[in-house]
Amino acid sequence: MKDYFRNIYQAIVTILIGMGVTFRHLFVHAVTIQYPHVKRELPARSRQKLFVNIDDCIGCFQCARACPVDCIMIETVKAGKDEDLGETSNGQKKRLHVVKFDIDMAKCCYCADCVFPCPTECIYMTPDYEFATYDRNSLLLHFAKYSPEQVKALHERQEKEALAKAQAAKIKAAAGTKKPESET
Amino acid sequence: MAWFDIKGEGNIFFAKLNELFNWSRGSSPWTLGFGIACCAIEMMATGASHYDLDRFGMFFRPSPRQSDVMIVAGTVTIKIAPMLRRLYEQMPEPKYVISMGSCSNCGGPYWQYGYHVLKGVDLIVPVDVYVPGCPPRPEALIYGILQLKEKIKNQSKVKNEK
Repeated sequence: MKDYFRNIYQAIVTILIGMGVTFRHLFVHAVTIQYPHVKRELPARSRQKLFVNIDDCIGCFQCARACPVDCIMIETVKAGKDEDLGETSNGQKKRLHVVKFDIDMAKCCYCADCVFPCPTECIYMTPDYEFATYDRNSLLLHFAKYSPEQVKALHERQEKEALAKAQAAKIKAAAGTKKPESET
Repeated sequence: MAWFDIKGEGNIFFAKLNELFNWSRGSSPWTLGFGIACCAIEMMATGASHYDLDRFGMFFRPSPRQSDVMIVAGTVTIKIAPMLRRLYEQMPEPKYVISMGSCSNCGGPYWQYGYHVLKGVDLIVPVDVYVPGCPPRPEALIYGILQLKEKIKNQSKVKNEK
């Protein structure tokens, strides 16, 4: 009989304690961030969308080599002898045309390993995360400023130069092999 | 509602009805949370009190027959791909798929050497919105959901998009 009433008493008291906790939470400030209207400020070093300041890029391939998932695709063409491509903001001379600098953000694993080896600090992560799309191809970011015609012209020039170089080497080699023949 | 679309192409009554349908579809897309990897943690965080998916009329449903949107969150291995396809087929029309994170977008870190990973969930189901990130922030997922809502609300105006 004593246990019976104690059980009833305990049931009521424990429910009241539990409801008290619930009641106190009625007056606690809500934690929900009203996202599309209120955006939480991300720290400046947060790792979201990659960005490349292509004017500072010297085409050294260090970021592409550091990338663990190979999502950075770079193509370069050597500058001509009398061509001046200018300098980067920290005083490095640019010797290569960066004709292609593509980053596939769909493959990227946001590790920022590409950021640290960059000698000119031109590739970095921005706190921008709003780039969900209907089409996966738009996640492939193009940073190079060269038009397809310019790229084609540069490639043709490079091929021509390579051809001329090969021919010169051939002539030289031929001359080199002929000489001992004529001597003997 | 296929017969509405066939019979009432230029009908103003059905056009308005379609708008009403789209509004109601876009306002409460219940999700089949398909959490397969670490993106699922972020998806749970989106459903929890700080980001609160209930504000958008979204609830995680355990059954595909009660859900409209499938959020594929994580690495889709070749082993789970048939099950994913079956669950997608069990969902009632109209159905939508959000691909969340690098892994389900295109295989992610496994896109080159992963012998066991499907290289993108869009190989087996049609994907509506791609949310990039590894894993995406809860905000990024909510942004993707808002993009999907935009798509649902405009789907009758743009022909044969879905």
